Amino acid sequence: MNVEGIESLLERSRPAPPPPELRRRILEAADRRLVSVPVPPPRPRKVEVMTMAASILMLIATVSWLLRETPPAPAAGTQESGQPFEERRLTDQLPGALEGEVSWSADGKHWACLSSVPVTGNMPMYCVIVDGKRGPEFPVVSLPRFGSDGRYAYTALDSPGHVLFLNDVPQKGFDTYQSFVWSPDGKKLAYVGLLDGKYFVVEDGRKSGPYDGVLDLLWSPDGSILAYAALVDNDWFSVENGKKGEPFDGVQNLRFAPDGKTLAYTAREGDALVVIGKVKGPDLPEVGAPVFSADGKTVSYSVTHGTESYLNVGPVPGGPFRHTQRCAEVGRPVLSADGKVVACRAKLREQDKEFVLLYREETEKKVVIMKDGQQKTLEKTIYVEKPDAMFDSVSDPVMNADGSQVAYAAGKGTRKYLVVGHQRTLKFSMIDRISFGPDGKTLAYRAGQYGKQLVVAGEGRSDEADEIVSGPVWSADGKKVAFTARTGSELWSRVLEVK
Amino acid sequence: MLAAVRAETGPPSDKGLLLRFRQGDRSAFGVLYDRYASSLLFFAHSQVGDAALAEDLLQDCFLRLLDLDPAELHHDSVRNLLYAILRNLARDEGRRRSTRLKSYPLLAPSAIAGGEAGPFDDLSLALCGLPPEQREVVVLKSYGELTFAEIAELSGVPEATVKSRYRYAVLKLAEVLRERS
Repeated sequence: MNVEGIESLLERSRPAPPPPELRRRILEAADRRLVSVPVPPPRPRKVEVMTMAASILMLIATVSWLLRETPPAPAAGTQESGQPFEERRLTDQLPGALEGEVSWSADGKHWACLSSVPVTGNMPMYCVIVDGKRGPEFPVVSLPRFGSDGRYAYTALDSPGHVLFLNDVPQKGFDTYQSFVWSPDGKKLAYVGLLDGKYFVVEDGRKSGPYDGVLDLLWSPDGSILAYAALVDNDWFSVENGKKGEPFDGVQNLRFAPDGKTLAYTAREGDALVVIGKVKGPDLPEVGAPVFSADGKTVSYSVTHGTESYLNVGPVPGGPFRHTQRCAEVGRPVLSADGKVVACRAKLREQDKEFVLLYREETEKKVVIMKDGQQKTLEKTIYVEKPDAMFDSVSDPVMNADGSQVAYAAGKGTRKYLVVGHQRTLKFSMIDRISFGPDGKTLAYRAGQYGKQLVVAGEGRSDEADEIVSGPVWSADGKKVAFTARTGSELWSRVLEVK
Repeated sequence: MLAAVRAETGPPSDKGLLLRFRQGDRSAFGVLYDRYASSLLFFAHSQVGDAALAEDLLQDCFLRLLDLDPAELHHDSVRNLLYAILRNLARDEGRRRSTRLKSYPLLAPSAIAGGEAGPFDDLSLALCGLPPEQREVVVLKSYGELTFAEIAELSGVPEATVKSRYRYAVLKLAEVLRERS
């Protein structure tokens, strides 16, 4: 073969496409990063807003582009798992590989998942499966979510764009649908629809807006407040039940404080800041989403300043804030119920290793002799930082309510260890979904070894499965965990006794 | 005016996709991934010789891109930036591990080959037999679609050197495939 032949061969060849699983893995990792992206959206100029709208319309028209997109997802953290505590085969007829998790209705009576289906062309297709019944197929579709009456909603790519389906029936009235979320009691459905380049939030049939953009659709825990971030005339606002808050250059990471009424979010106003209710935190270069202690008295969030990152920890709502040591990177904080212990994943600048940083409020007692010769004990609050052992990687830690135990998965080479306190215990090839049981001592998690997966709860281990799809979820008494497992084309609801 | 309208309705730029993703449009990142993942993965695999490791590097590369503020990107395209990140990651891995070839990246017929069954496996193997610096140039030029100038900037060598590496590489590939046939 001559030079021309080689060049022709190079031109006629292309890299083989990456495995679909890799795409899913990377997009999921990016989604997780999006949740923790510490920068509220910059204020788009009017022309950019128009460009965005034009781009979206272009996307609607250009099906080839749309076919390659992931679907608009329902808002995260809106639905408690209704995983039932019963051993039951859900189906033995999954048509293909399971895509993502299984969702359950709150009463545990209904379940749904997505499965790939064999296709003759190049385009992968996925079908919706609800209670074992195979439903419609789409190139892009989101996991169905259930309302309290068993109705289910999902978004899917269907001509001319993303459509909201309710019980497999396409909803009409908008050009496309961006996202949806059931209220916590599952009775009300809120969603974002796009019509003629404008965004509208529809809550239980009532239409808001119009807005130039909408983000972070979120219900308060009691379902009485629907909150979101909305763009109007170059300004972003937090919106609660249709009432706009203060304008900012950007608003993101909306969440409710533990009182269930106070809205907190990150905002950008030149610099970045955390806003809790009507109280603005200090101006900082970049901030992460605020995390509250369960008693609602302490808040913590990450701060990034150039190449340095640290956690701010302080009383709600406005500080003053103390901060942890400066690292190259810090993860999402976890707090004990009283806010006196804070932990996060961290990485030092000079070392390519990760560790869990523990930040603890302690009381130092000192006995002093007074002028009159009497002894007196003085108490002083001090803040102690304890970096744990270094690993190649560590997961975000979990903490029990009283802050006495911190657990996380730590990677060293190809092995993953479960680290509890300072003790490195079991090792697997994969450990994730770690949670403390109601006793605050026993741990449950998903583990992987030799290409199989299992659930570990206390000393108990489940049978191995090809995939632990959802869970483990603790029972209220802490004696059982429930999960969904797939082996071959069978899908099972499983229960493991905690030993 | 017409040009402006056309620009607004063209395919979204890489920078635009990144901005949209940062503003909560989760689908935007999928579009960006689909644009570059195949050629980036091939590049990573050809650098480290290990499919699983290449996939990990690709993930790391895309996530590092998310660490950057899209508003500060100087170009609408992030392709060259992705290659620069991935190249550095692969080099770091190379320093840590043995670079022994465990597998080679696969090629498939392109659309213009019309599905013709060509000697693509032989070409993949021959590519892996090239000296690393020559292999890098061929992969970046042929599958990354970088220009010689862009490759020179990426690898920090003069453009003339890049061109000569490419020429030597093609000659070597021709020789190897001639022998195999």
